[in-house]
Amino acid sequence: MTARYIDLAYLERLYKGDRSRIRQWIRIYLEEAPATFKQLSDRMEKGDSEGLAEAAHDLRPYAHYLGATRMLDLLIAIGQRSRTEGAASTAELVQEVLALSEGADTELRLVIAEEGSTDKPV
Amino acid sequence: MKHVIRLALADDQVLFRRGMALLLRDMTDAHVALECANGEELLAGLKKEAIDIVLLDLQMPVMDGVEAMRRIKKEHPDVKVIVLTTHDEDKFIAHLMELGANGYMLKNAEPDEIENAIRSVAENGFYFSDMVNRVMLHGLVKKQQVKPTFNDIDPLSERELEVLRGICQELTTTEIAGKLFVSPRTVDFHRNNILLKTGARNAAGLVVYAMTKGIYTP
Repeated sequence: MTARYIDLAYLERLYKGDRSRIRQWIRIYLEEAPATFKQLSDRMEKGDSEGLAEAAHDLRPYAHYLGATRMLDLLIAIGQRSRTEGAASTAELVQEVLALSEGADTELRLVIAEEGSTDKPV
Repeated sequence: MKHVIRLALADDQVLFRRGMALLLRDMTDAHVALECANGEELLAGLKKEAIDIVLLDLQMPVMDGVEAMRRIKKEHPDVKVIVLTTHDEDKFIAHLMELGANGYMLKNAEPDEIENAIRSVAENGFYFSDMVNRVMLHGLVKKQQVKPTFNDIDPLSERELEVLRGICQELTTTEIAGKLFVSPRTVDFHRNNILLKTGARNAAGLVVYAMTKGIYTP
């Protein structure tokens, strides 16, 4: 699989190539991530600038673990802009993060599916 | 039999908490005995479970990590705390170390560093990353407020100075003992004397003392 949205090198390193634990992490991610990312759009819609900045800050480890560098850059930018220019000013950035998150979800599901059918390294 | 370090993880982010528990499965000398989503759950858990080290997030609902840290140090003084957070701002690091954190790490730390920190805190009582050393030194230079904190009446002996330098170099008790050709118990004895003489409250205070007095330069 050629990944566009994720780079699992960090997870590989974190779990020392243990595919069983990487799969477990991905499954937890797929359960938890949608609600966590939804906080971004919820707080932006409510105009909660501080809450949005905090949510973006909280999501940074997710992006880091996924090797999603563009997402990480956007989360940093959302945090900064939300505090200085208000939540509404981040609308485009938030939309891009959510799109990247969806892309990452799709690729992670493929990783799980491929892992289930073959014995290739993740 | 070797003592297994009993760990508690306190973080409201399920992904991070469970991911960390997965990571720590690798450690044969440590075991995650408690997982909590906030400070209140953690304090309740500490009453039931014998925990050696807490890996503590700062931003949590109900009771955050700062308040949890204060309560742990008051109600469970033997429990060590490693702050594990996304906040790398100097003000957080300095404040948490002042409150008595035994270590401070970022969530994107390399796995080996996290394992090293746990072992270091279990054995020495502290783990200072380069980041923490930098902040503490910067704080000293900026505030110039450390001198009045320490007692200069009774100077440290040569042996105590050697032990203090070892502590600053993040050597374990066993390593310091090996270097000085003494037993670990002797190192503990010297460490307690150093604490008494300097008036420092913990290992962080000892490092601050050593830096201020020019005994150690990182």
